[in-house]
Amino acid sequence: MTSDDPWQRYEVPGSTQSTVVTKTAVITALLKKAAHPLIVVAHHADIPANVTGNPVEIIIRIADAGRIPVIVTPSTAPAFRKRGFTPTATLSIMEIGARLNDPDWSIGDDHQHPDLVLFLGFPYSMGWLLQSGLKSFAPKGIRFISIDQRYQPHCTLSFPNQSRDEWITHLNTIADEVGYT
Amino acid sequence: MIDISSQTKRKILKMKARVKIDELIGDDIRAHGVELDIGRIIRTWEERPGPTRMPGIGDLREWDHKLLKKYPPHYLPFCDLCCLCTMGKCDLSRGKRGACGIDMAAQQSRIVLLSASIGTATHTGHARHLLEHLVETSGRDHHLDIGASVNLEAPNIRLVTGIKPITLGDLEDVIDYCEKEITQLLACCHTGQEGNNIDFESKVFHAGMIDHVAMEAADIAQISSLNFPKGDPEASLVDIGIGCVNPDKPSILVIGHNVAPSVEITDYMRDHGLEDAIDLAGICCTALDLTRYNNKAKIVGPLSHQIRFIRYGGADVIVIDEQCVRTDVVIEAQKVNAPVIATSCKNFQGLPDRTRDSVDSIVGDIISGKSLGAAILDPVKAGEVAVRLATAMFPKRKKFRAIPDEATIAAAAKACGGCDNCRRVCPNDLPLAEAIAAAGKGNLSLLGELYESCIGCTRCEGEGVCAKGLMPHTMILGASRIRMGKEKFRVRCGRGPIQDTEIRAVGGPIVMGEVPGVLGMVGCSNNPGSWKDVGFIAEEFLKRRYIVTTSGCAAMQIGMYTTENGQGLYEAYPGTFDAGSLVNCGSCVSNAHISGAAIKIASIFARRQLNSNYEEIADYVHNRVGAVGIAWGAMSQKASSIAAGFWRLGIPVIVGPHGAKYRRMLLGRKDHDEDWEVIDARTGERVYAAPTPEHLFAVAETREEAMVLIPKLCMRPSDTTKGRSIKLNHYIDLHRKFFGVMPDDMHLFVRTTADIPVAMKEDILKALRQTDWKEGDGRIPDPTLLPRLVRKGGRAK
Repeated sequence: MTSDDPWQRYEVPGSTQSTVVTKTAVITALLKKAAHPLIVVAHHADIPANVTGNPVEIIIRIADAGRIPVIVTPSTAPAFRKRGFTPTATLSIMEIGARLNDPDWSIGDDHQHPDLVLFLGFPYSMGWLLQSGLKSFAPKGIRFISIDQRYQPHCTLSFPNQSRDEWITHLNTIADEVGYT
Repeated sequence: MIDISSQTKRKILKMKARVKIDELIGDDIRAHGVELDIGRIIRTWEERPGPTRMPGIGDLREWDHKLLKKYPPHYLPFCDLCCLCTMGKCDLSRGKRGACGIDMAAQQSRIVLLSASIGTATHTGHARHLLEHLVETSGRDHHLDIGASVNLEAPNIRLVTGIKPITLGDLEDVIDYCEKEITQLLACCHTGQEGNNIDFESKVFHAGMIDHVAMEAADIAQISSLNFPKGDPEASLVDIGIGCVNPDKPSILVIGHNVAPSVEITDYMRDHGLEDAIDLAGICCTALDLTRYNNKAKIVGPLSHQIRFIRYGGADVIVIDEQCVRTDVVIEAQKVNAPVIATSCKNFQGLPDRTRDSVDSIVGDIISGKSLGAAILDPVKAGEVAVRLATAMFPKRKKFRAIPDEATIAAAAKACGGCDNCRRVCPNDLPLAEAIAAAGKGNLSLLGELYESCIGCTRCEGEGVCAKGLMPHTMILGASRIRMGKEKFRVRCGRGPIQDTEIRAVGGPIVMGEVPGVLGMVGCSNNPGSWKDVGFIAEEFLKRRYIVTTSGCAAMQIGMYTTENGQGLYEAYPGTFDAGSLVNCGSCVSNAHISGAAIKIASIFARRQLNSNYEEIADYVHNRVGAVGIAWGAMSQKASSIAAGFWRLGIPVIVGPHGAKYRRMLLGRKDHDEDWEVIDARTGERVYAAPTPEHLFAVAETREEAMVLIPKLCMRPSDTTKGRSIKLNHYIDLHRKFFGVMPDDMHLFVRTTADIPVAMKEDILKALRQTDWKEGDGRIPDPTLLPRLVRKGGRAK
């Protein structure tokens, strides 16, 4: 398996595909540079991880450290709330897509559309379909980054296919780097 | 003067006619040798025709655009490219246009239209072939009898075409109309035709509407001609499951959707006293329709059971007709030495056409091994061949299986290198390599656990997928061998239409919201997880006293689920169209009875004009009838056209995660207040009616998300306070149950404190105080989207 092969073998994206990002520092730098970053989390994030950590807990660390809003899907919200974290909003995967495509939509009252969006915890096919839609219909200039365990082809950047341990390590590194100023 | 007797009038009304008049003398006319060709005579009925009799592809555009403004398309392209013409491939991503000028939005809608048109064409083609056969066997004049309590026999047909069908022959006119519209719809997909995505979407809705007309024609034809249950809530309970097929008897497996050959098999068995000597079982909708004709027949399961049952060796002969038949069925059948009889010209499967050959020669060639099977397009002949082959093959085959035993699996599994290639081609991303590794260590339980979640596609066994040549799907079956033999459940066979009396009894409570909703559980077996999720969803809403209607593979999967105390849902809940009842309408084509029930509520309960009056009826259904469709395992193009028929009526549809691959959702924006205004038909005033229903087509990420969405999408602007309170109670209760908290959008649906469920009043008021919620004036609108329906004295503003 090469790192930029879509995890589902038959998900052939077309003319362009996500650039593989293996250095977490790249993601951290973009997060810090973004004026209106957003993290979107779906329910696969809460699949119990190994001893090195649970993705939901790491996302909470990233969000807290970077003061980044988090939108979760309804099935994901309980995993955040039971850890004492209240997500910024709860929307279904497709509702999130529809709002990200709307240039007038904003998370808060500042009327600013997100300029960088991190995705995590997506069922694979729902992830690539959502991101394929964003590729063509979202306002220009937004960076979409998949930080899921499996390579997603329709974003600006994506983690490569990796083992669960490697994935958790990479997520932890982002959390550490975002918190380090 | 031309005097036509009443008997002649009847004849003329039944056929195309040519009238020759030797001499015609009137006050102002004198003519010789007049000939009149009458192409079609339309029966008139008591209700005057409305504005859209047999609408063309543009006639309901205005209505469609109203819906599409509320529920704009949200696209999910499969890839960046369009590959439909030789100017391409073209990259349409990021705002680019193709060589023909099309953009990504229009292209996605075009694909949705293609899918819906294929689905509609398939149902219409099925209806045409079935009708031709039934006209041949029962006669064009065969009177349509759908049951004594079903006076409104064809709500979709009457609404769309203005035809009140009385005989089988009348349905030919209906199918003529459908075929004409499908031709126009397909023409729209050609390069250089439609270019606007919203106009494509309108045509998708048109395809869906036509689909329900064709399905209705097919089902009322077979109900009437084959004496299926006629709206009978107590239709028989029949056996379902692989274990229902007796391994000690010869057996015939039928697969597909057109019941005609299965009926002939049954008749041949009856005529020759073989009913108890041979097991007749089916997969997919042919099986459901077969049990409506022959309640001794058995259902093996939904379409995901095809390969597993064939490899299990349960069939001594396989008879296929049309739709959803594995296209490798002949190859699979060879693995267990079972011959295949193809009975539809739509699905020859490469078999030689033996329709004109004698039964003896066909049977002889197959038994001798000279031929793998045959195509026989005469259902009567196919019936005889199937029965004689089953009897002859049974002792030869000895139920030969292509499923390994546990020891063979464990030995083979040791070769697994853990590369995960099998998982990477699995649509459900099942952890196959992990399960195989465990099997290599002697633990087959992980493989067995995958049995319910495997959709039976066998992509994991594709050429070159496993470098070691392992067959993961076969290994799952091997690990589940014993369980398959014990797989036995009960399902109520399809009852057909909803009775008019049932509509009269529950129409009011549905429209007022006091029956919390009508759930249509339909679709295929392309589930994201266990098939039992379908039954789990059904049970929850049955307990909550929703009316749960179902059809097709979903109806089977509901049957293959048992309650905590081991009871089947069809045994635990009645089959009446009433609160807390489970209504299996029948096969795919019986879906028309679900949309038909919604139309009947408008016509029978609310006395709205039905004849050729689509827009008004859809407006009524959309704003008042709390119905929602759920196709958890939707797979096919037919599922997309069925959904499209519900969309045009304004009925929301929820699909499971794989449904996102239909590439387009229709999502409302609850944060856009202006989208949720309706006209109060009493005054003409525009009033905010909340996002009711919020979406027209939505995908749910999990079973729980779907179950919370269902009560929300059952809310309608017309709900009384009591009705809204009941619906809110279910919405909030399910949200709490699955997500632990009350929903954050609850304030949108509480119009006044009277809407608040009493048991939750304190909590809800507390939550409302934390929002900008303001109590409304309590006026419930007479909601419509159509200014022309504002009553005298009122004026649309």
